[in-house]
Amino acid sequence: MIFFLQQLVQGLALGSIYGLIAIGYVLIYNTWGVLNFAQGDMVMVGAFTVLVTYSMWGLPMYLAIPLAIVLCLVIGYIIELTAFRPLLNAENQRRLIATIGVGIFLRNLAQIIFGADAYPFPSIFGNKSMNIGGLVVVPQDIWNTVVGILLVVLLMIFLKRTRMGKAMRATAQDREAARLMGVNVRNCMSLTFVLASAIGGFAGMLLAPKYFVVATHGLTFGNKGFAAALLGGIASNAGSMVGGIILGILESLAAVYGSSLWQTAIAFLILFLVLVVKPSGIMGKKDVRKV
Amino acid sequence: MKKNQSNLTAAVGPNLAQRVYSVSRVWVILVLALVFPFLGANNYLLHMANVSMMFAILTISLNVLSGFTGLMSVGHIAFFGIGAYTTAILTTTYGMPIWLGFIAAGVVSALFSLLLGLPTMRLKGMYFSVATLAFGEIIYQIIKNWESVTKGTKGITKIPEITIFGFSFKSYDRFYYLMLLGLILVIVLTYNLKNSRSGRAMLAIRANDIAAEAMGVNVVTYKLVAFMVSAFFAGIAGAFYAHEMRYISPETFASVESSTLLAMMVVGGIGSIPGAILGGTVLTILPEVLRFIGDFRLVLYGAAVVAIIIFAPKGIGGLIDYLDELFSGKRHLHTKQLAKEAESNQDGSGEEGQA
Amino acid sequence: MSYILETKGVGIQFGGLKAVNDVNFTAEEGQITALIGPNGAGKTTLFNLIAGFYSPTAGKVYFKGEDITPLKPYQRTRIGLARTFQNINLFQDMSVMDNALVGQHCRMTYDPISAMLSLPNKHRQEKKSRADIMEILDFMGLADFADVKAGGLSYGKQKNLEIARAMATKPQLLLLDEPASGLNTQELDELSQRVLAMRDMGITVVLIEHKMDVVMSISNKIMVLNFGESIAFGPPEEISADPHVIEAYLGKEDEEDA
Repeated sequence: MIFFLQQLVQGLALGSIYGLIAIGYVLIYNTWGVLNFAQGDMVMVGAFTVLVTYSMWGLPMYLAIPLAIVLCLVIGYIIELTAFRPLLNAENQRRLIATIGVGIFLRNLAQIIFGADAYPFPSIFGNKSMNIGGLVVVPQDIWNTVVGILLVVLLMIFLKRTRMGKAMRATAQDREAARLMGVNVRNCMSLTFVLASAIGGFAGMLLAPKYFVVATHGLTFGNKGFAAALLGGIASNAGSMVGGIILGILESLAAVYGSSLWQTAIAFLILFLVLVVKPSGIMGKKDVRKV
Repeated sequence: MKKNQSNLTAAVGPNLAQRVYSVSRVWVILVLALVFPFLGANNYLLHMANVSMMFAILTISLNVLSGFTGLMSVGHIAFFGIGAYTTAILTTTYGMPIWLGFIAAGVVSALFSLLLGLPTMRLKGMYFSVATLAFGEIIYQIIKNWESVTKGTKGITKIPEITIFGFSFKSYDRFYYLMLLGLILVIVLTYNLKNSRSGRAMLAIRANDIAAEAMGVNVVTYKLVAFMVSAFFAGIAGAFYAHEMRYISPETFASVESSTLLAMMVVGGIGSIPGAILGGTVLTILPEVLRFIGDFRLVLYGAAVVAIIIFAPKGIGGLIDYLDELFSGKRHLHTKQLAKEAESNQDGSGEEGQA
Repeated sequence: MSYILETKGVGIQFGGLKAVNDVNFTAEEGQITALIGPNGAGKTTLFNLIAGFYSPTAGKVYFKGEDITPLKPYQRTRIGLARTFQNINLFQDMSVMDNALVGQHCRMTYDPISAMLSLPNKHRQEKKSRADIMEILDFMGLADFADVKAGGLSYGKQKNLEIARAMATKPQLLLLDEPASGLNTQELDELSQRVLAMRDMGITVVLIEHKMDVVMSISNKIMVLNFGESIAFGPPEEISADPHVIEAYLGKEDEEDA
């Protein structure tokens, strides 16, 4: 039982980060109507920005992280301006491939600047394992779970309660109607995009202590992130956190009870099955066919 | 009405130069392709040409699915891998003849496409794309981890060279001609498909699936047909790859390579067959040509994909179509017809109702 | 009396809303039947039920006396029931000829393998289909535009191509959804002439239309829908005198015209 709980805790820690990555996909998809294949690479960018501000510039952590987040916002804005805004009214295929292009660009740029090595990163919250009632836990894991879930809750409060958040939700639901109601749609779309980029980047910062910092992070964690997004339901913010946690727990269980070799294959098999059985995801509503 | 039409064609029909162009363009390209090995091409160049042609076939195959039918696949490299591994396993582990390996590569790949296609047929847009991505990832993981069959990350070595009736195609120049024959066959078959009842059904599904269904097209059937044809060609490309390289390993078929194929299709122009050939060739050769600038070439590559999507939505294929219509005189005809229509709309006379 | 098309108590609910409720619509062979009613009355929804894009939550649809309720849209097209769309739904990047050839899809039979290998049956069927389509394009005033892309046509011509494409399916029953919307006076005239000519060719026509003069002059019978229910069904003169209809529809229409 303890052993099972142990896997659960680890799955939760990993899953809440998947959830954070997933929510980036969901935000952009609902507002921009395109699955951003470069979102995974924003996770990688986030990890590298904090590597630069903390390890290379030697800033203290409480300055390094906010500065890294600001850098992610700026990079997100540049991506939005160059690859998303010009294609706002283009057909979906083209927009999808443009995001793939952005991903290739970011990944290889990181590889040129930092090489193909994996950089170690010190634990932000401590990595000395503790024993709580037989459970062996690492503070970083606990904090990742707490911070991840807290961030999603804050985001949802922001979207539901604040004026800006409501405007962003209105924009996501119906751009034209939002415009008629006096919402600055352009700004809302930009804000959603940079917010999603920053959340993705922040997920990368949380991953860094445990999974190192490496240019190909985008591929590994990006795919997991949108698997989580679709698992939970691409239309649902809360769903992506649920999807992330389910995926995280399933992966750690699969690694122990199955074989760690097949961990990824199992995750994608589950994604495939969910898509086939209920495309709208666990928390999503059913689409109605329009003629 | 008939007379009227022929007058119009006669008035703006192609001149002699345009006719010569129309008749000779394909033959000129074919002759150039045939003499290429004699133009001082060394083994390296021949190998690059062979790989380019494989990717041309792959890009054409992706075009049947994503370009014609509009089913955006983000996992197409899986079918290339299935084809390559099928023939590699059959001809090494089981010692089967190569021709059987080739057929099996296409057929097994097509069967796998049903495995992916049947459950995902009713998925729309992005959901379908993600399902193909999951499929690509699963196939890659199987290739990488099922060591007893695929030899895992070590890869399969000593894949036999192609011999037909004792005639070996081991050397790069001989393989070149075999590859060229394969490419030409795929091109002809795809052209025939595009200009047929089935091909038009696919194009109609991409343009507007509801209207296609209203016209009597069984949308599910033709999506599956597109899937199988596409996977069959991709599997054959994989067989060529396995027997040219004579060594295969999982990394070639990593799911991220699917985005390379998408890039080839888009750079060539979605739905365009000549574009697919050029897109496949250019993006195979470009990284080699740009080798002198080192890793920076891949950064450029990513930026170029975005730039082409934004500034040249129809890719190289759009440019070819434009020049082709210009040189063969068709563009002129179109302009005339549209001008005529504008005129008839303006004076309000329209076309006569043939009641 | 034999009806080529008949709906018996057909209805559909979206959520709690009854978009179409208990409609008994009939179309007699070789006649023109119109479907009118205010916006949102359920006309297009009824078309979608007849063409198979929606499955009714109540009632059945009969075509030539047979229950076709379980058939899919493409199967209904095969047995001779074609439709056009209210909003132009052409294949924009395909030529006029290719658009119409998609309509011939179910009248050709060769399979994808014969297509790829270009076998003789492909050539035979293609040749016949293209000849048939040239006749239809000629009839719709599109013969000169066969090689032009559908998206490059004027609005009026696109509407004609909608109809040509549906005619290419060789229908016995043709459902036209607002064929006259957006046409100028002269095009309206041509449309009326063509619909009458179609009837004379033996095609049964059912049309949704807002232009009352067109409807009144060419229809044999008219059904008026309001809030998803049929409130009158009869010949034009009867309909224009029906007080319910005048209240629900014609009165309002007059105001709009004024």
